[in-house]
Amino acid sequence: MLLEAEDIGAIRVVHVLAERIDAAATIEFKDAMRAVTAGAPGRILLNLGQVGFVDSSGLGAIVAVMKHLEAGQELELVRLNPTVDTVFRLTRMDTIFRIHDTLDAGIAEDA
Amino acid sequence: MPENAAARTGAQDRTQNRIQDRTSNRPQPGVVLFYTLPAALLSVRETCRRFEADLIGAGFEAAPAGRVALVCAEALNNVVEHGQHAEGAGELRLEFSSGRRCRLRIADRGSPVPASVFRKPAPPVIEGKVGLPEGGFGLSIIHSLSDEVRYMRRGQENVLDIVLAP
Repeated sequence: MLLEAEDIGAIRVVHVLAERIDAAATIEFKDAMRAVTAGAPGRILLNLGQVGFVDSSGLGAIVAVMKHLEAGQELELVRLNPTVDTVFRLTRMDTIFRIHDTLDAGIAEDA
Repeated sequence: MPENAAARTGAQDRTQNRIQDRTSNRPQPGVVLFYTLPAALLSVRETCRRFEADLIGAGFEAAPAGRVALVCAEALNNVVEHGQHAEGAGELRLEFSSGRRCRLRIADRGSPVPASVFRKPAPPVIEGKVGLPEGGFGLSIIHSLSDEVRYMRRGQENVLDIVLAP
């Protein structure tokens, strides 16, 4: 799975350049996330703008990544498409993650 | 329903679709989509991707097509991950038909499974980040987006019917 990371100020932005985070992709997603989040100082914005589909396994993988972050790190989500948003709402995970409509909004917001 | 059930060929991962009316922008009664796929997660991905594109090609809006494809993916993954497939019996059949409501049917020739496997689970406990569940959301999603989920054993087949109004 292709992820691209950049640091914007103290924020690490991770762009997911894959169309799906699904049951067939959970292991590679978790491995790739572990690599790109290592050493990030604080907030991590996961940009899902290119992701058209997340199933319950993909959701579980995102939760697993969040639970295994380093001390002081915080995972937030950016640009959920309507189907992805549905998955987060139905499972009430929208109450656990901070979710931003745009990357700019996520970057602008104070932690 | 007219004669629109595509014939099975037994070929793996093969699709045969007959879409009756491509002229209107609304889902038409009698849209039938039919797929067979190996019981493997990558095949589920490929089939669901094609299924969603086929729904949109048949006139479904993106949002309902996405919801149907999501229910389909959850159900297929569930069957692949928890089904008991004897050697050489790991082929799944997926049928979709639309009408007043839509029906998804998934059939496989694995061993019978307890009907309780597909019952609506208690909602996972979502409280704070510590101890948050990392799985067990699939069936909740299926039930939340569906009107009816029914498992039947028919002869040598497991049949899972999901009725939904996307």
